[in-house]
Amino acid sequence: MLEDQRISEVITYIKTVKELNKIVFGIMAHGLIPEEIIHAAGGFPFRLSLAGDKNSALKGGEYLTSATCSFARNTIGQFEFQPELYKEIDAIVAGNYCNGEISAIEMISHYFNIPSISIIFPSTKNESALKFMIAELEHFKEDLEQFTGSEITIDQLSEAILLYNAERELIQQVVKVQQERGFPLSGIECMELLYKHFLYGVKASIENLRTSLSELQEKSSAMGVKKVIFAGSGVPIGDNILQLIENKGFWVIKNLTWTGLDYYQSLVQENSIKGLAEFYINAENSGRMILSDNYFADLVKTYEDSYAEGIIFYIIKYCSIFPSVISAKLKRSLSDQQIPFLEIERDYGVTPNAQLQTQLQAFKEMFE
Amino acid sequence: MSVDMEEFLIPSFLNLNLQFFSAQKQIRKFRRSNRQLVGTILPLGAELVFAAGASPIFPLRIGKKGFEAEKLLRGTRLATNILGTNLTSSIFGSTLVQPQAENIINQFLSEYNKNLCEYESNADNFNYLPDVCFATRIAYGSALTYQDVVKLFLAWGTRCIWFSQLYGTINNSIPIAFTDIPKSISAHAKEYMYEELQQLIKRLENLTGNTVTDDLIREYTVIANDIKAKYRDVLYHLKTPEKMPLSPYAYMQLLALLNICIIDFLSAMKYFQKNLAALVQELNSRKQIDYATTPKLLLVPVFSGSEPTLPQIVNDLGGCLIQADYLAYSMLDPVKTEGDMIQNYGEYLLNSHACWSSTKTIVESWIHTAQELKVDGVIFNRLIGCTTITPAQRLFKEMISETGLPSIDIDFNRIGENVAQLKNKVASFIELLKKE
Repeated sequence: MLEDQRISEVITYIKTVKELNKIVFGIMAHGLIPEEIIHAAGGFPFRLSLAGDKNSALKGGEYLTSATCSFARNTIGQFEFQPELYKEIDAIVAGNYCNGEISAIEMISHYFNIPSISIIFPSTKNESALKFMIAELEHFKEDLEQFTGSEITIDQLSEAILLYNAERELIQQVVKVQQERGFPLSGIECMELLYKHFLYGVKASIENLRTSLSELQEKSSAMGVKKVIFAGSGVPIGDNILQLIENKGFWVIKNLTWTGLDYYQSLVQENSIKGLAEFYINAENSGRMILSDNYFADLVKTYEDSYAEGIIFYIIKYCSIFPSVISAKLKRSLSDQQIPFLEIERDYGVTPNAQLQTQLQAFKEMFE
Repeated sequence: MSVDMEEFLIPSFLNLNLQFFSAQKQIRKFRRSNRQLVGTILPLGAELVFAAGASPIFPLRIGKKGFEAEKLLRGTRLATNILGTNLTSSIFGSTLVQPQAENIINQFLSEYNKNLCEYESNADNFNYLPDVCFATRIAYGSALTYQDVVKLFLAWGTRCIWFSQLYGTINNSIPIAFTDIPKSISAHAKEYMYEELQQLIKRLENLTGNTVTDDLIREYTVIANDIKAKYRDVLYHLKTPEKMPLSPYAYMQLLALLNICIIDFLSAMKYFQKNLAALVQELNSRKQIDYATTPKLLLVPVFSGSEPTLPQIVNDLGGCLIQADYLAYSMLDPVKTEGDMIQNYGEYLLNSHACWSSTKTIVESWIHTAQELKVDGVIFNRLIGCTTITPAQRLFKEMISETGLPSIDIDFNRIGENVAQLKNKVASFIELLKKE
């Protein structure tokens, strides 16, 4: 289970947020819901990122089936295990990032009586899809206005976009300094920077990133470790996969998942709904839109540019985004280029740590 | 449960069965006439393929080396043509009639099942993921088996992201025409759908070199609408549940046949239309069979895969298995034929998608269908590995219990797995229904 201390701090914080008359919107944590619009509406986007433990996966299985990805099952399970926190959520945003999100959000809304506001993503990224995405964001904005009872002005939206871009710029600076100084921060430390955003929002995250940046200048690089890139499914709060990896002597220098700093390497270029649509539809590392080979090309380029020694590809069992993509294309493209890689699959409710440790040990021995 | 030979000698029924097994012959014919084949695994878009002067093909219908059942059916049709239905039956003699009829139908099912098994193992051989849903495994296995024959594959973006990713993987071997169906019926979704269909039509035109006009789409849509209406007619015999025009075994086989044939219209739309019309007419004029003691069970969901021997199991236990997914998802609804046909087709796609785009809607669709068809019970087919529809299980149980309709759930993962357990579960359910 997640540390009680951490949860109770978050509960206190969310209560403070609510005292400011902010509406708390629960959103799936994959990073494709445009938080800027929620922020502009005076809402607080709270990423449903607590997961990773066996109990909530099993509990979630009572709502969904065991073949739903264990992240989705955990997410719904948390609503039972953390009622104190989750009762603060006023509405949830129902996206269609993946099968898990579609099923989980609908069941959360139904069984926990939380109103939902939907947003639909297209499956491709052509011109028609972009036009649809723009209209869909406009529609989302209107739904939020109706829910909150107040209009979102152009200035509010613009301010929100600038704020989120400022956070992304700080993230990019951390990534840059990391590279320059030989990656002094571990993968876990980097991920914690993002967790701040997931639980406390953009403003707290900016403050935290500023502090970390100044501290980073004094840190020295890690020695005697195997530098690896981490890609695939994200690591929600409570999933110890990065601990297992780094305890085995690996050092995650790049994390391309939605829980990694490297996911946030682009900015919203145009300060408008259109700019947001372009940004989210082209989020290459999300793996959401089909028929794009950029994901694989980017992964190989990141590997080459960062002088990493291998790639660890993480899959949450029954994830509908990554498995079929990687089985055919990724393995081929990494094998062709003789890039050492390890594929790890995990089901929070089932896969024991020992099994993952054995896989990691075998991968490490490949280098020795 | 007994099988009446005469039912299988209905010429139109025989023709449809025969055409089902003739895919290899059709492919040779299409090759000779330079007609392009477009792969499809969902009952969507075949009208547009015909309008482009190509032929849709459901790869699961293709037997690798031809079917034994085809020879048997051809022989039977020849005998029927020469001697007539009554004489053929009497020549076989009363003792030979039943084994012969069962032989035909068993061969149909067993050869189709053999096909499924082969594609399932092909998917394994092509290194497709073993623990994903049956539907995508056999879709992948069958599509890649015929990658030299199929020049383009129809791919649809639906609520099932897994399916979208499957198409992305097929695209490594066969070019796909991906058409997104947004999970919405808003005005901007209609506009997006329209543009997506325009893109699809362009791809089909490039493939065949023909121009797809609105009139051509209308022409094939009218035929498709008629076929769908006849399919509904076949299902709607259940509305008078005590009397049916076919024995349970023959009726189940007919539903299974239509469930598959509607995907590519047997690659011969007009032939399909003609024979189905004749069959429906025949069914309407036949002497009715008493179904008072035959429990009718609706299986949901079907189109993501189910144990292929289940109809046989239910029949042996004295029941009748009903497959009506396409009715539930409004896929048998007519497409409007007045005005802009691309717009009409787009609206049809959005509306049918809306019937299964949310868990609650899909459960409501199943329950509505069960009530409309007046079935005695519902079997929930829990497909292991399905991350889209199977998660509806809990809601389904709750909502169906409110209707008072009895239901059970069964598991399905791979063909032939846990069949004994399945038989026991279904037997207890049928027993219970018979007592009621």
